[in-house]
Amino acid sequence: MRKFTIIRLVGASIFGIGVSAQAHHSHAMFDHDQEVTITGKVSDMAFTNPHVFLYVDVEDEQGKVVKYWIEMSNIPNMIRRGIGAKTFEIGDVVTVNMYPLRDGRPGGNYNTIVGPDGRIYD
Amino acid sequence: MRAVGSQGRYVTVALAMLCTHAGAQTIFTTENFHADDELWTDPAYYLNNTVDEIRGMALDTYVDGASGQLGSARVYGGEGTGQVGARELVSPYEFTSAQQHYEAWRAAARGGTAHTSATLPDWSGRWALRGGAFGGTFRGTPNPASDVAALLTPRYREYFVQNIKATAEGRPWAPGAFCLPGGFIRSITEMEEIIVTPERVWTLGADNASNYIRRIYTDDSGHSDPDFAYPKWHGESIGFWDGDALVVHTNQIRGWYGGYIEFTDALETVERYRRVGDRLEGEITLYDADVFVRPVTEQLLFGLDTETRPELRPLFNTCSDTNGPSNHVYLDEQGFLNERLPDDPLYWDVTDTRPWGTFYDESDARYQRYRQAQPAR
Repeated sequence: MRKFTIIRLVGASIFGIGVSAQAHHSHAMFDHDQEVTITGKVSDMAFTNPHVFLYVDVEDEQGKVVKYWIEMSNIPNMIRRGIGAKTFEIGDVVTVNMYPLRDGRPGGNYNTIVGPDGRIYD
Repeated sequence: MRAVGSQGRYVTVALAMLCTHAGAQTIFTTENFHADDELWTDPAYYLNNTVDEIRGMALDTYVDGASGQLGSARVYGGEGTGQVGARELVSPYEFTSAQQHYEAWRAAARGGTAHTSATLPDWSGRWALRGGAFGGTFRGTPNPASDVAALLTPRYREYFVQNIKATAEGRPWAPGAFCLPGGFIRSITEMEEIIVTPERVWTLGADNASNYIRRIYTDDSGHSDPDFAYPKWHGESIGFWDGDALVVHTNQIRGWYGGYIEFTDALETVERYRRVGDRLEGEITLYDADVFVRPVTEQLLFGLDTETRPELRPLFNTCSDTNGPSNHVYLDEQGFLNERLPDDPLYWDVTDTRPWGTFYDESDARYQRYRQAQPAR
């Protein structure tokens, strides 16, 4: 399983990246100056409003499994983007690009997800 | 320059603060907005920004979906496009109360049109708010924020400035984030379906955290006895038909947060709606002398939603799916469900009628400490 990588972004280019979904709270908790890409196995998914959550187990550089909490948009927005309650199964290997939590906890607001079949969801 | 986020926001805010001595004090440069009361109605204080533009300087402030998303976040402290007086915000009517307004229109309609199921207008379908402004939120208002501030009494003007300043800095308060009801304003802006019968009209709606139901009694039964009146989340609504137009009077509204401003338990409103093709055209006049120096009237425009996929039909939603149950009720050491009391740190103060005010005061203090703790650049 790949380790996670951090991509530092510069300039205005980050604002051309896919628009975040309408949320029910501010996204100030997420660091929009960074993108983090993780690859891991889906451990759970909560298809709920106001937010859908994806949980991904990622093996870190020491071999320890870290559970990532990925906040997504609401159910109607996710359906419009092609993501349903059964799109990701437990154990699926996915690659998630996200804006990480500013406080360093393992999680963030998703930007794109590459599914096990290579399909990209944004 | 670019829109800001987290550290970037701090840098830009800091740069804006450095400009304090170079130019006039603005909402973006002030160290203490409370002391700027003489500037709150000056467009220059907001650099001519509209309330949408100010709120859109933060990242992803959900409130109206038009502000602060990543692709459209505005530069903190940038110049705005607001034009003083671009839209008339005060009510064009001479009425001094919602009751007087409603009764005058009812008299003009000779008590209202008596409809049967066969003669009622067809308002079926799924509706969605389409542009236009809305009273209490001033969404889409092309005027600078100073025009909105000028509508408000001094106390609520100060609350308004605190609200939009915190939001521009990425610190908005929204009821859904705390699993609190959206309140009266959102019960209208989120209206999706309208069920029309001769005696009653129901409106149904939902955002992604709450559900909204209004019952409008058109059976001439009037409001409830004043001795038993009390503030309700969506108020108490009565109405009549004036031909194919519905007129609604709502009182007993619970004071709450309405987007760009707040309102009190004293708020009463008169709405009028009429279907024109695929549009539902309406207006609302808000009477709340505690908040507004004069009544405010704004236009409402709903359009028929063309989305027909079954999986995207309206949903029942609950915020607690994501945010979990209330902390107020808990399992105690004896195994019983119990409730927290005021001396408990997790107690929810039900007597706090302005939880957003409590939030903003604490958020302002913490944000000041956070900024002061940042290394000099």
